[in-house]
Amino acid sequence: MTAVAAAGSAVLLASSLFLGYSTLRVKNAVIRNTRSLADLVRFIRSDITYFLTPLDGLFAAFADENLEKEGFSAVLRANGLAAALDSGTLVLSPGTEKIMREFAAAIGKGLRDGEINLCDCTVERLTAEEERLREELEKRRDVYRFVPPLGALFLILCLM
Amino acid sequence: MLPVRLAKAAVKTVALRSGRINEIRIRTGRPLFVTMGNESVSCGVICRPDETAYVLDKLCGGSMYSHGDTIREGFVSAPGGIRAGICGRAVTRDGRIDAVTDVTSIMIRIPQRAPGAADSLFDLLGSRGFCDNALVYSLPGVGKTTLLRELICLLASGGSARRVAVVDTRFELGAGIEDEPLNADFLLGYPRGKGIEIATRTMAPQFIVCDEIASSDDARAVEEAASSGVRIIASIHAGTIDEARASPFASRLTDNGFFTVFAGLSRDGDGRYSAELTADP
Repeated sequence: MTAVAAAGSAVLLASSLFLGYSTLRVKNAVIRNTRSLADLVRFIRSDITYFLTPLDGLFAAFADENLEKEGFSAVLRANGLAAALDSGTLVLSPGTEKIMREFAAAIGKGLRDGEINLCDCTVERLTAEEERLREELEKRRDVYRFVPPLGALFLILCLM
Repeated sequence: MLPVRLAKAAVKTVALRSGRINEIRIRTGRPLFVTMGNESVSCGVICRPDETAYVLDKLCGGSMYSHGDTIREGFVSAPGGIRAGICGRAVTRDGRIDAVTDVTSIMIRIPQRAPGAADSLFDLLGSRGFCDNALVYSLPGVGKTTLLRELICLLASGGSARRVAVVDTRFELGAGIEDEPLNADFLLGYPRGKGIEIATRTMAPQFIVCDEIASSDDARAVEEAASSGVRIIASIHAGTIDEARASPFASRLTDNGFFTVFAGLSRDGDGRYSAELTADP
């Protein structure tokens, strides 16, 4: 019985550690993805400023290791930005998703100056969102790290 | 390129009458029209604002900004040599068009190939040793661009293919002949005068072909190119040879005997067109 309890406690503790670690990983991925999307918008802005390449050409030319790894780039190249956001290949914060959906709906519908303004505005919003997410993560890092194992320990103690 | 509702109406109209569509006219709040031969036919459906916006978006490939310059000039070039004239509300600054918004009319011209259309002009030029500058004139929509396109193919192909530079300001002259094995260079989207100047200086052509001389700068560039020994083949909007000669931009060229071969195009009731050739001695 003691061995079973010990094993159960170990499993519970390991699960709680894993939960904390996973949450941190997801939160980091959300920040990383927001940064990658801001890079995408910066790339679009830069190209529109100098070359006016159509969007499909821009999406084909954009290379980002993170977006590539997540499978977002493949959908982006094949079906465009709106479809890539729909594909769910990226974990995004609700704020980032809203900004990008608005961007996807508006990009390509205006002339050069308007598109450059749109990109600038989007980059600004994404940067602010990334900053907010980063601050939030810093504030809660210890919560994600310690609360699940402490909760597990409390549960174990209660059950003992 | 057309929304399903408009496409169905156009297809139905074409099915009821035999012929090919030359133009499709979309006007917000007004009926969809197609032009077949010389005749404009209503398709009986009223175009909605969202349908006009859809067509413009499709023509621009979802990237309107990449067509900004041509939109300001009143047209969009789409893949396949399709050119669409557009108009709406112009936003001006210091007298120049800064942007065009609220597009309400789109006229899509479908490029045609007409093998044989330029044979007689080619033969005439050949019989005179390919030493003439030629001016093709007609009213809009009759087929100047089609004839020039076929002439490019004749001049720049075969065993004795001549070096041809095509100054294709509106992406029309090269439409449909991209895959032809031609001895030709295409200057796509260049302003006409600048394109002629660049072609003359850098591509060493024997012939420069360009569409629609429409400004004194164009006329000056044509003159300068010809003084370098390059032969020019151009077109101009005019109903008769006298109108062509009197055109404000071409008169300077016609008065001093610059153009010596003229080809006037006209269409008969069935939409077939014929070329009336005139050669100065």
